[in-house]
Amino acid sequence: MVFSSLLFIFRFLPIILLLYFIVPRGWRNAVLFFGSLIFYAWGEPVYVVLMLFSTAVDFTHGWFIRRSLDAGKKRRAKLTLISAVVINLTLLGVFKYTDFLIGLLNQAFGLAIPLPGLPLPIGISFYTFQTMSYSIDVYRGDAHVQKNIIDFGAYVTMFPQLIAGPIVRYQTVAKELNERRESASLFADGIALFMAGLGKKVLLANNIGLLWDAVAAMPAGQLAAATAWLGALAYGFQIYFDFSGYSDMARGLGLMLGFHFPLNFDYPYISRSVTEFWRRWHISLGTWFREYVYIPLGGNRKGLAVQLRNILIVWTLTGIWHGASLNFLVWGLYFGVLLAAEKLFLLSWLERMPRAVGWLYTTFVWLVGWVIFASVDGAGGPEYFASLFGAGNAIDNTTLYLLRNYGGMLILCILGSTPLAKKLFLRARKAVGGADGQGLAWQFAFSAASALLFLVCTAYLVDATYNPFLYFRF
Amino acid sequence: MEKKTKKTVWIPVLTFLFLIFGGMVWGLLKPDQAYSDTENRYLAERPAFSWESLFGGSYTRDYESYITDQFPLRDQWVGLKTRTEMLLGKAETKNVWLAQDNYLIVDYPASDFEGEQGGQNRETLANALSYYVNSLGKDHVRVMLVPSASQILMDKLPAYSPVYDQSLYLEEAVKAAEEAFAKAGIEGGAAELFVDVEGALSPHAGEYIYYRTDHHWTTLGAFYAYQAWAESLGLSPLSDAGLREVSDHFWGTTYSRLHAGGEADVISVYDTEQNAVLTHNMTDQTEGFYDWEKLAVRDQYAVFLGGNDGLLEIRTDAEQEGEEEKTEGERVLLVVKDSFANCFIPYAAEHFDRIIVVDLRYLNMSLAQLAGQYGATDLLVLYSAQAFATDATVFKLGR
Repeated sequence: MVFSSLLFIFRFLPIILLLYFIVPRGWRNAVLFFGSLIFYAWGEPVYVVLMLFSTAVDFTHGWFIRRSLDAGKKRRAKLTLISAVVINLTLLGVFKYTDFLIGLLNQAFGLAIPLPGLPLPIGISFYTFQTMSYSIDVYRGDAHVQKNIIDFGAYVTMFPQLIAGPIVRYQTVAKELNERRESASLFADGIALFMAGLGKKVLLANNIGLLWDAVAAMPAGQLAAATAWLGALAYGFQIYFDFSGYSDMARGLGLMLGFHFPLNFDYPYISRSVTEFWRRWHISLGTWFREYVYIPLGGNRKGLAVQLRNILIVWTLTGIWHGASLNFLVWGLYFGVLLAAEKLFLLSWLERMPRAVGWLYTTFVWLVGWVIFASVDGAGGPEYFASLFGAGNAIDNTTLYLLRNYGGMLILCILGSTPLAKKLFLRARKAVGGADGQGLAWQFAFSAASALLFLVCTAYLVDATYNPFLYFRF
Repeated sequence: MEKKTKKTVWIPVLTFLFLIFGGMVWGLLKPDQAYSDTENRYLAERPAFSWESLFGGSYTRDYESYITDQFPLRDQWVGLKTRTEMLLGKAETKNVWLAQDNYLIVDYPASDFEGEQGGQNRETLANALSYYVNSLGKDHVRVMLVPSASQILMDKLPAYSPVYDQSLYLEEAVKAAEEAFAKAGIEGGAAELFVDVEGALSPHAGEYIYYRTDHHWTTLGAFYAYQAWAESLGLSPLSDAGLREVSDHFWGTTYSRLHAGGEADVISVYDTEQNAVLTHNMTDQTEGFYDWEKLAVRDQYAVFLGGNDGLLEIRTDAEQEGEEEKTEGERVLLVVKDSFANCFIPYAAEHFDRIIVVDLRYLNMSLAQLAGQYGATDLLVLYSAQAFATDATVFKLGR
């Protein structure tokens, strides 16, 4: 099930909220756990078993690690941790990378091993990373062991962040899992975030996605340069608003239920270096790789050569985390190389330049990056790149028509990718709602505005000819 | 920072809960609707549960279509979406151009014309033409492929609109016919069989020749095309369209896609004095070309001939009523068509004693046999170009 569907908004959400708040506090994790299983099983009635398996594996491993540590058996704890990581990665490997690896082998050695063609379980890349974080956190002593499998299950399967993140590390929510306080004020904050996210996904991402689809449907070799760039921009906006909208909805739902999930996107498109971009884009994934891969490998403490190696390892992994396909690998390495270059000299050079230079450079980098990223659907590729860099006309009537048709949407997207809207919101709240932002006039204005946004989003969902789910490869 | 919560915070919370619970309760209480008039399709109904469909994934998929299709006030939501699109300055939404003068013009994609079906249908047409030219003679066989509004009313479209040139399809159709004729040894080529509809309509682009909210042409548009057709047959066409307005509140199929924009259309009919007797599918008889009751339903275009029948026989020789057999010297026109022909036929009837109207979508008989049975002397194939290129029943033309 996805948040941006009538089924979620007008069936699942009201029912789960009702159950969640009428049961005694001690039962709320159970409601979350079983509700989340239904949420997941709705789209994956078979693979839900896989998720339960992963849950059980890490629950038992975590318990065993803690017991071994308490008994002073460090080596046994370590072996148990390795076992947990291996099982999780095997799960991920089998279901996500088998076809890719066999395909590579076939190509490299001219073999014809048949591809098993297993469909990818939704969200597997997210929940395996979460369950792994638990075992590692327990091993490192960063988190207490969870003794109740329902509570642990609620953590793993929690529907708000289950299928598209943010990747919540166990230590982040460990405390709230057992001692959270829901409140009307948190709920209201949650509504604001959920509405913002829903609007981003349904109004901005889906609509600008039509522009990308229009460009992608044209013969890539015959695009005017301006059209090609417009397509890349549209794709960049689509994936940003889709993904960050999802994260906002997840965080908003979390607040409604009393959880604080970490910020996942912090206006990446205003970045002035690639380093900054990746501090602002999919933050929870970056954090995961930093905490569980980069730093354990030695991070930047073992000399420049090791650091550069570590960067390349992390970015190879980041690349293929996004999908089992060569272009994602190239995409990851592309950023890895640029990040390494920034570490070496580029960043200090950029800092001496006017701010606009850094922004233009970074924008160019992520636009080109998205074309690499998108090329899995056959829309990108060498021909698209040729068009980007001027193999055809500079601009033509198609470009003008697309601008004419999507101009209003593009302006909204540009504004939406800056902190402007949030600033205006906070300023209005202060001006109308008083110092605590809870004045009556503000509450009415805020309610009316979110209701209006909600109705417009509903209209787009009822008339949904286009409501894609972009992370099926993640 | 622990801030003290005021009671006012319940206002947005209750608003939100009201919206999601309200939507759910309304959806559960509203009786399901089987058919959508405005969308012209059956809506998804509550899927039957089975473990098999659940684990196969089809149950949950069908359930989501069910929720979407049965959502309360569906048409109003669609209208709200269209209005939002207009507010955002969109030039086109859901393959409909928001054009000048309150025109909603369908944007048929190139793939409609360049697809496999389009190619097959051209071949079918070419072979059928050479067959009927052999039996009826060249002066008695005509084809009219009517371009859609986007082709004729191009000036009304938003700036830089990429319009597929439908005349390309026509050119290919002529070419295919030429080849078939050459193969069959028919002299003089096939081009003259194709009435230049675009040439007949284009000079009148400023007039009311297409509906604003419907994909059909108006009776006036059909009249101009009729003149060109009649002249090509050597008949002397009427010089006046003789229109009579019968409705000023027609909202057509294009409007139904958007539920916003446009402007109500006016339906006019050819005010004929002929006494037409219509026999629908060889059974029901009605009088007159027009079914006035259809003006009360949503799709008022069905006023013409009462809509589409598989087989419709029209007799205008009132004084010969009762005579079933064709008499010497009578001209019988066989029209193979889609709904574009429905407002055209009353004009054609001025020149023929009988018209046999065939809609291949609803007919399963051999066309050649039918032509023989009714003693057809003339053939007209009249389709909108887009429908012709996409219709999967055109192959019956060759049966």
